[in-house]
Amino acid sequence: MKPLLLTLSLLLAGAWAAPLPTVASSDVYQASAPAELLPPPRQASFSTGTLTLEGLSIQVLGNAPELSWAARDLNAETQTRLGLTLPLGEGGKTVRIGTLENPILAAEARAHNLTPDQTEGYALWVNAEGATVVGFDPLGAYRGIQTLRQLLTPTGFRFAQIRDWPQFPLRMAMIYLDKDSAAVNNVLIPLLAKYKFSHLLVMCDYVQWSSTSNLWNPSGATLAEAARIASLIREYGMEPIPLIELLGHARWLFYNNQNRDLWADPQAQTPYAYDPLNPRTYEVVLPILAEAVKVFKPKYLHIGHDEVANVNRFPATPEGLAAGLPKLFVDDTLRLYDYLKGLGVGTMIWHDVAFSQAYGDQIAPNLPKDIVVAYWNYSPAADYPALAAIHEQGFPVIGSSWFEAGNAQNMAQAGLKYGSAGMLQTRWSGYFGNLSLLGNQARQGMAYLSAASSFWNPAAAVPRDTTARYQEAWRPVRFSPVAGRLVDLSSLSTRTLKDSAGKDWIQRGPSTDLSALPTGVQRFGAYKFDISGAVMLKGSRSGVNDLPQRVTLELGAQASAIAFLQTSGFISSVPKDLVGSYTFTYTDGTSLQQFLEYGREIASWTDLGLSSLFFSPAWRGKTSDGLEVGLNTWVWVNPHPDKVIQSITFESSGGQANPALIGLSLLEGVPAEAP
Amino acid sequence: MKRGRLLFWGITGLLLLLPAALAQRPMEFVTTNLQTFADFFKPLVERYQKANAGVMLKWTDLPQNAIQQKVLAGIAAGSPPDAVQMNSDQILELAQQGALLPLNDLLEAKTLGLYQKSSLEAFSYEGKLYGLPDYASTRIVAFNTDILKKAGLDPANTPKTIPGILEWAKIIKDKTGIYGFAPLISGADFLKTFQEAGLPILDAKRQKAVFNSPAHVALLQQYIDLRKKDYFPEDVMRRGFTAAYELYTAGRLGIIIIGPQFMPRLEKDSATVWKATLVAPHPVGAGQVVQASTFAYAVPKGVRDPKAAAALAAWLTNDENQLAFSKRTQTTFPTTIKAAADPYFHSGGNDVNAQARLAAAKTMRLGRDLSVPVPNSAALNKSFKDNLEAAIFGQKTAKQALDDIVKFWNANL
Repeated sequence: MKPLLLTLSLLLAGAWAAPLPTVASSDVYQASAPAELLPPPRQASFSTGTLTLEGLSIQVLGNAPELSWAARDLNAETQTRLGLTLPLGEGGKTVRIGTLENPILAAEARAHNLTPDQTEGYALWVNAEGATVVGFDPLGAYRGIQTLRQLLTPTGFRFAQIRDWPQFPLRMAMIYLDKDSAAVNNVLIPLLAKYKFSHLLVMCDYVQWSSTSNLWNPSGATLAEAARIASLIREYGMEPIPLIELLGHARWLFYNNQNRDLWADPQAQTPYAYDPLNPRTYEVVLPILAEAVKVFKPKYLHIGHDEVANVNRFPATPEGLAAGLPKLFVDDTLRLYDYLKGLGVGTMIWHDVAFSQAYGDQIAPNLPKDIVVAYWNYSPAADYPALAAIHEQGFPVIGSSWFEAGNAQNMAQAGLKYGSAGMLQTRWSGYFGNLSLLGNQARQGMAYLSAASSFWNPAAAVPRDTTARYQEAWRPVRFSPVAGRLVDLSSLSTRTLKDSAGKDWIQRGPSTDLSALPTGVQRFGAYKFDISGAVMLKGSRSGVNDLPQRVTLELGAQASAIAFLQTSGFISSVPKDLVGSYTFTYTDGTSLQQFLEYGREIASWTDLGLSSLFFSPAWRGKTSDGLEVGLNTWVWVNPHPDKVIQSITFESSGGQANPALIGLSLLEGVPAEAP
Repeated sequence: MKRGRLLFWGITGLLLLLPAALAQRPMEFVTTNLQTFADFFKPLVERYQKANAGVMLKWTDLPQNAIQQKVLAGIAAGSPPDAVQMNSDQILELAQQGALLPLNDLLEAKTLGLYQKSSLEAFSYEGKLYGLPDYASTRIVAFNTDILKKAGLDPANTPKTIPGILEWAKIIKDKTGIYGFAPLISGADFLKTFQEAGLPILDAKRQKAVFNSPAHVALLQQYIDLRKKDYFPEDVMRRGFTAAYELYTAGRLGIIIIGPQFMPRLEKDSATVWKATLVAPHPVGAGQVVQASTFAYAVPKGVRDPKAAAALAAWLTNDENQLAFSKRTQTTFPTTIKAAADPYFHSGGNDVNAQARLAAAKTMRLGRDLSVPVPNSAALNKSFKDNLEAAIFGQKTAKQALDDIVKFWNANL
């Protein structure tokens, strides 16, 4: 009797729970081509129309390897976006790839008034007859194809006429070698090539050099991996420059309690700099440099030499103090410089000690003027006059930026003004931090792309969609639409978006609300939502602690994936904070729970600095008093698309970051970039 | 028969091992960057073990940037250290992450009554105490008298206010070309500058940020103007205190605000500059407070015996131990009421190092840790730092930067 009652009550409950209203849409998901080219070209004009891919082939005109690499990259793009590979061929409509060495291409470029005249420059035109990329040199053709890739739309290549060239010949990004090198660098290197970097600075501190097996760290990269990465970089049209941190930041040299006799500060708690007065230092260091040169075959090697006295005392010994920091620095640099010069390799250093305001006048004048100086300054500033000061002393200088918005662009503009030789986008994600690029350091990866834009064309505004482009590298986007249903959440709304009286949204009043968010059916990024209010749940902060702990959304529908437009009322500073969850209950009685981790699946509407590969920026706007705010879309892939989802229970953990759901859309297929 | 014999020997063995196991009951405390004072901590450990039979106390010292990770990793592994010494920012951050135990529940009120109230406040958040104050250090002003003389300034009549120091900074730079002063203004430290100048950070209810008033803007603008005119070295704007100390040590900076503990180091790094150095107490502004960096012991969540861990923290920071530590360092101050009143802090020698300690002691009564306890302090402080730098480096006006920070703070307070 009892089991029968239970079954009946379940059936009745299921029958009574009315599903939320939905509206069908043929394109709940629709990816589009990027609106802007990155980097923005120097000269470009566009006209209506596209060159379809039907019957289109690729014609490589020349034997330089860069031209076949260009064809490879173009096909990678068409394959990813549309599932098509363009054959190599000569007749009919073609994408022609060549250089000015080809007289026909040179004449046509002239006729189009697009003749490239600078290294790495290119001309590109697309019309109904075909597409042509003509490089000033083979690398120019390779760079041009990277632009053509971005002209691909769901219907073909956009019609365009472009003449383009880089501002700086050296446009460098920093990458790392560690045990996870392949998983990250195999994606990152093609990505950096796509956005026209020319050089990669490869952090090599913990490479397992054969001359120093006593220093092998299990998390370091093998020598074979270092060699593979050097080749991969070249096959993507870039040059590797190894970075081995020497003098300061040399903890790697003391790994596993080795080389204790080489500590610069014998009284220190932990080692940091080496002792340049100890001759054995060079018996250890020089063979490593020789190996790095052998593996990378670089034109330059970066020897660090920054922040020498930042951690321990330097100098610290009586002999060191007698010599003084400037002499120790100069002697060490000259020793390494001479050695590298003997191997046919130039030297690169950071600027901060050699050109410091404390010792610069005793160091810089004593250094050879062909040392390339990397000036770093990671604060976004209106100007960087120190670039000029170093340049005026006769050194080639490159500006080095990091991830804060405006840093790379402003420094590139200063570099242009002060005659810098190039630019470097640094990344500081830990010596064994490659995988962090997919997690909490994703924003450093995204910063590569804004830097790429400014390093090529400093004067142009940086396209705003660098986050989406970075995400695409890891989860490629296809152009095919996905149909589905938009869910109307209005009946479950617990807070309005507009807070005119301090009683809605997060109860901070009209200057701190989401009234700028457009309502109704809206497309944010690739996803459509029906927006009305917010299903906001309870949190610990005042203003939101009287909200419900959980809300159940009745669906009674199938879905292959579900897109959530969501945020939290407040920030969380708890690492890996599980701020809530969705529990998906199927009609067969089974259920699945998906937790929402702050910074991974969800972020506060005021926390725009957070970046994750697991959610995509959806909407960005401002409050009435100008605070920048935004929402993100997170997509859940249903592991049982054949089952009917009866309901979703949205639950808060009740902590600082109270979750809020603003839009919900059901998808009949899984978008290619869904995690 | 065999089973019976085995059981007998098993029980006997256990009984024999039990006292040994108890004697090995491990406890651990962690300090920040105090390896130099191993001669103080090793006997301290021995004294604790003697007074607490059965406890094996381990002392670990870590660099400042490794401490929070040590706590979080310990919690995750189920074996955090029992007492961890950190500064107020670190303790508040971990408390907000739920990684620390409130000490009010673990210690008696009379124990807490032994500490200076202002020190306890620096480690309190939402009515709960998360750190037992240990030592504090306030800063002093050091003048390079050789540079002062070159600039025609009288070392016997040094300025007693921050505006006075700024005025001398200009004179030094104008007359010698050497930088006169290098204030640390490019981070969240400017929140402390506001408070020292008597300007509030939050409203009376502590619910709204108010540091965008015309007075706040004017104070920030003063520093921005001086930087723009190259009165402050760019290296220091970028690299902070490390660069300021480097410049002072190299004889390239006239005035520095510095912890007294750096004077013995200066003596080693540059005897010439050390000999030319004259020290004075940190100027006291309208706020009638000066920043006193304070360290405290916190008890992580997940310790085996919370009460024993809190008792360890209380023992480490009792009158006797705090006074002994201050005497050992010669440059730090206790945070218990009784130890702080010890006559030791008003006596000393004539060399620069002793004078530095005396100079610091003179302002210690006004010393407070001026870190601002707010929810999500890491995110709020980052917003402060980013916007302030944008103003200092010409990306935003002072007003725009402070307005932007206040908006962000008010959406998250």
